[in-house]
Amino acid sequence: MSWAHRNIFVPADLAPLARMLAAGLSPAGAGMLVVGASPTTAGPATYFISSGPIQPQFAAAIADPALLYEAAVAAGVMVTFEDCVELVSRSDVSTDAPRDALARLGLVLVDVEAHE
Amino acid sequence: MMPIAAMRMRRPAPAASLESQVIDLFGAGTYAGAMYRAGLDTVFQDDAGATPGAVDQPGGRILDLSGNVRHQTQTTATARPYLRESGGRWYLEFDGVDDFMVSAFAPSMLGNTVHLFMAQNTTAGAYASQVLNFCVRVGNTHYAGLGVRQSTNAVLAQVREAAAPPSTTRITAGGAVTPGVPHVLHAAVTPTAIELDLDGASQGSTALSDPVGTGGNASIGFQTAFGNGPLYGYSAYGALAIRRDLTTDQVALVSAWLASLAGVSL
Repeated sequence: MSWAHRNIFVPADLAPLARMLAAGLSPAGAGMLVVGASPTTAGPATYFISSGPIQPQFAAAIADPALLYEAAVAAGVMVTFEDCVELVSRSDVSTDAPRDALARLGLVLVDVEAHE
Repeated sequence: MMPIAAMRMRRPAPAASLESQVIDLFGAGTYAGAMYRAGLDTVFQDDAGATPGAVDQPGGRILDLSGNVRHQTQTTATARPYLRESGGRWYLEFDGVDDFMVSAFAPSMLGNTVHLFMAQNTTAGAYASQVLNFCVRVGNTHYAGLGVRQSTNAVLAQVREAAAPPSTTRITAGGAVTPGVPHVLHAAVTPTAIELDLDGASQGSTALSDPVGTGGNASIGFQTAFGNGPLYGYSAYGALAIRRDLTTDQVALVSAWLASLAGVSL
């Protein structure tokens, strides 16, 4: 199997929708987008981030509302085409390393478990 | 002149020999714990172990070599580290965002000294917070881990209660680690104290402010950055946790095995 690296930022208000979609499209999508990012460490999270390998068909789908909607329908995930348009248009998806993507958007990680 | 074949037979195979000796420390599963080494023969791309590992591909499963069947897995695709190779050395690269791997719960690690070992290097110079790159739960509420501390970039060993950070007891090594330079860490944890070695050199011992209680289940796992701020990532060459007393020579043996994986001079 070949994988595609993607760094994905989803706006915080769309994160529940994105999580539902990710989990519905593949079991390997469950648990995504749980780490917050914000312009400051004080937060709150304005985006949620996932970074790493995903299956190529999902890499294509998260860049194209039509493909995303088609995949969601095929998987039985209850979303509208408008949902998919908003998710794709407002998210930041790149092949960047997470450090580079955070710097490009001026974000830092927040609201993850602190062990200090 | 000695035949070439004989020379080959007599040539030592340090890494394999060391690994075999380290595996023997588990006594065929007599002693609780787990043992990991990054490599094509130990890492699978998926959590089920169906797709063999490959360089620059994700690691969804890493085999426990100890015989205790505590294979670590990650079901979420984007939370899987990448398996990398450089200069003939293999490691799992954790991104500092969301990557981690865990094993299934197993009987408590408490009851003897718990030894934790890890060969790792850091991949960023500004750490998110203190992070525990290799952890094991040692009782109902406590876990012990090895990692790097916030801002000082110093390696650390730590015991804390899962739900009560103020009870954290930790030892921090004196010197900062340099990103990209591998190190071998070792911590020995008893119910009342923790001690730390860095590359074979003792960093001292500290009594626990909150002694480890009895009971509970043990989980073992590679963790990643936790905490607010800049990004932190690290590479794991190998790690080991074992619940038994070890002699100085046995500690040196495990350290030598990990050093051979990461290219560390002890």
